[in-house]
Amino acid sequence: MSDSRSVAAVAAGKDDAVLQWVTFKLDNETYGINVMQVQEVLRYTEIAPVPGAPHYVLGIINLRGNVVTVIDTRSRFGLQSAELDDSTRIVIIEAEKQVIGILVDSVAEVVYLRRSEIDNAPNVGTEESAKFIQGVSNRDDELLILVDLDKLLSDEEWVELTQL
Amino acid sequence: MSKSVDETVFDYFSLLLQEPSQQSEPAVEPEALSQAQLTEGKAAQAKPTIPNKKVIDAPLSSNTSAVVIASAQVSVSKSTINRDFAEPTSVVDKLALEKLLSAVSKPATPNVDIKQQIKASAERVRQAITQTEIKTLEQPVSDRANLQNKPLTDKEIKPLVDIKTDNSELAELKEAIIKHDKLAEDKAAQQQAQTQTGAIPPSVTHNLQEVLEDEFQVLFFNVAGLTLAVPLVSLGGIIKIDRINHIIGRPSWFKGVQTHRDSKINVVDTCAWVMPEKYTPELAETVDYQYLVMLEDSAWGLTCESLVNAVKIDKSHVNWREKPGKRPWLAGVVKQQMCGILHVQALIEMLDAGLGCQDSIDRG
Repeated sequence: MSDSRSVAAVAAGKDDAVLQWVTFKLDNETYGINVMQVQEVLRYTEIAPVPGAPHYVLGIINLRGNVVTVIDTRSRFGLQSAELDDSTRIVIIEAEKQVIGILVDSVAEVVYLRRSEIDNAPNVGTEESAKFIQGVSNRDDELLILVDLDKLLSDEEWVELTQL
Repeated sequence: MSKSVDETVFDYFSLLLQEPSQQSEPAVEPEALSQAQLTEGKAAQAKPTIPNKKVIDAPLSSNTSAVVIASAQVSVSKSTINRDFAEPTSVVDKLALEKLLSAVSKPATPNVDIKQQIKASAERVRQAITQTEIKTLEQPVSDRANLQNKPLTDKEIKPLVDIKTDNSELAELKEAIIKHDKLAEDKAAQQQAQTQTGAIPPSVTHNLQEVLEDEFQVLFFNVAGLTLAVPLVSLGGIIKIDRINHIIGRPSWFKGVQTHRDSKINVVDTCAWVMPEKYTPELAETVDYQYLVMLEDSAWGLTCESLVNAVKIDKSHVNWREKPGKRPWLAGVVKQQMCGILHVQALIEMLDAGLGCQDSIDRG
């Protein structure tokens, strides 16, 4: 009996795994992305625009010899554009087997969240951007919105990026 | 049952028509009715138990029409009385019987084909039997007892013609007639259903009204000059608006999520939801939301500018919505304050489905 209980507890513990999230700010809201998908965080650097690129692409940067496409996250999230400042960062991520950069207002910290602490986002969205949100979590009386980076772009858009 | 209903009735009337004196009778169906019903009445006398639940459920108030019909069951028509094989009794109210029979019988017209007469008579008998049976079922127990207590004699219930019809055959006949009528009713109902878009429930706010007592409390609150009422039984709480986190990709009426203790409240921009057509950017700037009116135990909170008061009102003071409409979230109108009262359950259902105020709930 005690063995079965302990097995159940271990199983429950496995289900309730602790995940690490890198948080960033965008329009005064805090978002989190899976730390495993974050490669590095850069200060803002010159972004070279690409003629004919989709509207959500700000341009490209040279990252140690590699060309990285930078996405306009505000535009992608349907938010108003904002002035760049010292807090602006480019977060280099890997999603859908591609390395891209996302422009954010600022990067805050890395937080630890149990899976059980993540709730579903209100399922009332019909817009395309609604699917980016993979969940929300209440942390220190502050809402953390968790972003599913793989869904940041559609399949076609991911393919389109490779052809830039 | 070996014969169909019509065949049985036709046979019955063929036998009746074989009687030479009956050819000139203006109406033969009451006799058949009397005979059939009296036979049943006899059976009922022999076994005075309540036949089915309908009788039990029937009201005990007196039913005049049922009594009249019942009288017809034990009475014999005036013309029949003159015959040798049916003797009148003092119990029979001939005048009342004639009056009753005038509604269902017509004087015979010599030009009409005899077959048509038979057919028409058969149809009338069939209807009369069914109608009488229904009336009998609806008849109060006391009336039925009175009827059974009437001094009926064997003479009175003596069949007009010698037809070998026992109770089982009669029951079969009646069963067949009822079955036939039921089929016809079902068919009519189907046809009606095809022509109608959908059945209208008795009251769309029935559930809410059941929950509420005759006198119940409501909270009035203001949103951009509009007053709304919410029954206190449906009020989950009132929370001061703090920081609302905007969630991307949500409808304009979804203001965001506010954390409250360990819970997350989905904040509805009430003005944007209730009157989207009037919610201009200019109006949005002037609206100053202060509180969240929580809907039952859901995660939904309606923003409001101010709380007016909580008063006790009577159910009759509300003009409840009886028919489903475009606004299932609106339970009715409070007459005195002339403001809408919320149907919170419907509202929650709509919000959960991500519907706007004018979207229809697809329950299918």
